[in-house]
Amino acid sequence: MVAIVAGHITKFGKRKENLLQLVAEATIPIITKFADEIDFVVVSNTYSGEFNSMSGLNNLIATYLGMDYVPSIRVDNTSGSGGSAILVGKSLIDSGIARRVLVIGAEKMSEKSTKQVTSIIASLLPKEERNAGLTLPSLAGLLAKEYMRKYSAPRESFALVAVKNHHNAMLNPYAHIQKEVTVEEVLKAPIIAEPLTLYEFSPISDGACSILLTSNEESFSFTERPVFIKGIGTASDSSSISSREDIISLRSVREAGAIALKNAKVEKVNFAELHDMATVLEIVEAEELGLLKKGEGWKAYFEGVTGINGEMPINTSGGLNSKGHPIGASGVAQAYEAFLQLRNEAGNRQVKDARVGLSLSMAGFGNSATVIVYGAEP
Amino acid sequence: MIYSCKNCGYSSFVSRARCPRCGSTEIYAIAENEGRALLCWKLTATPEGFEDSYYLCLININGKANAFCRSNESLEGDVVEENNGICYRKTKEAANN
Ligand SMILES: [Zn+2]
Repeated sequence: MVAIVAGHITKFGKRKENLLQLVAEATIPIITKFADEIDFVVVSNTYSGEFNSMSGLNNLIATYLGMDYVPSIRVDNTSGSGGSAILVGKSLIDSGIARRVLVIGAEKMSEKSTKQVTSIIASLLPKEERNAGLTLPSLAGLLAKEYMRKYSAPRESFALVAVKNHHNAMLNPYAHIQKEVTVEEVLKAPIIAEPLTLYEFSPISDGACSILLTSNEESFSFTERPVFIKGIGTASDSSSISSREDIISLRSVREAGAIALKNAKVEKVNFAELHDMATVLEIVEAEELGLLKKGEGWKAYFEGVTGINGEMPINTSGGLNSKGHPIGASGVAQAYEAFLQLRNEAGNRQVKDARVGLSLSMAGFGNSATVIVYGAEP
Repeated sequence: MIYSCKNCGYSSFVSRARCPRCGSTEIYAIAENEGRALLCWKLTATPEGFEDSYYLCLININGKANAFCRSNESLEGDVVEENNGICYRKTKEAANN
């Protein structure tokens, strides 16, 4: 079994620093204390080639951090890279290959135009679907339209996700977007993918986040309050959206969640960090994970259930929607938010009596999903 | 254009080396591209090399495979033909009567 014993994050946003500098900002506070203990580095990043003209990123990072001889690998699983990197880090420890694994998530996106970023990210689609003009944000529009039709959900449901996550981000000094929005402002903003508007999509962000993993047994020699990975589940779906039997379900999320909760022997979590690249995804994912009732998840947003003080707080960090979504960093930053919440260190966005949390790191449009259940106790 | 498995008939809009249903590697491109547009929705943030806005349509080709194509207007409900990612209207949706 594996625990998180340390973590650090950069402010997400349009940053002047380059990719390696962002990594250093997130990581130096950890390695200043524990450099000699770390025996493996796992880097979560997808687009350093496309965005930054860099390859062999893990080795470049290790060298930049003065850890030239520490073995390292890069994990690329698009938007879900962070969850996959933690899975790999945990597996390295469970298998005995490594003892203390530094997981670094990072992406530097803002040097490209929005059209270029959209195009680069759409390269995860099969060529026939990409050639039709399909993009990741466009699929969120399709999902929103179908969700509204199937469940008679009002349009405002999705806007309320953006309102909540913008509010939560105001409580997170590391979040990209520092601005409250109202339902009216969300609905009146420029449409990106009908019916969803600008405020309902994650921004293009730069950022990095690092966490240190050890075995449960060793964890207490690193910190008095380790956060334990109680369960982890990963699952995949077809990369071809047109080949999926049900275009509005997220099969990988459902399966990964069931595996993680079963492994963790947990039925209820106190908070969740979900992959809200678009507002509608937060609702559908929460339903697939059993956090909200299938087809009725939207109702929770009218009742404040998912707010920090609600029954099922979701995306206390501001989520991808407002904290930002530097692709490779996002899944690691979710784990870091769980680390803070379960150590009672989340400041004025702290969930009261948080003992068990969950994160969903998702690739593409549910192309794969990694769900992690965290606990303040093993 | 869709791709069909010679062994089991599984059809898909995307090309594959192996059938996900039966495992056969005998997959053939077949010249079927007509179907009904099940859903259309507008996209206004588009990738490099594409128009600044267009409608995307999810279409079903002859009951065999779903596919995507784009158009400069909504074709929801219409019979369309897909060609190289673009949809062309064949028959307008019949008026309710
Ligand atoms: Zn077959």
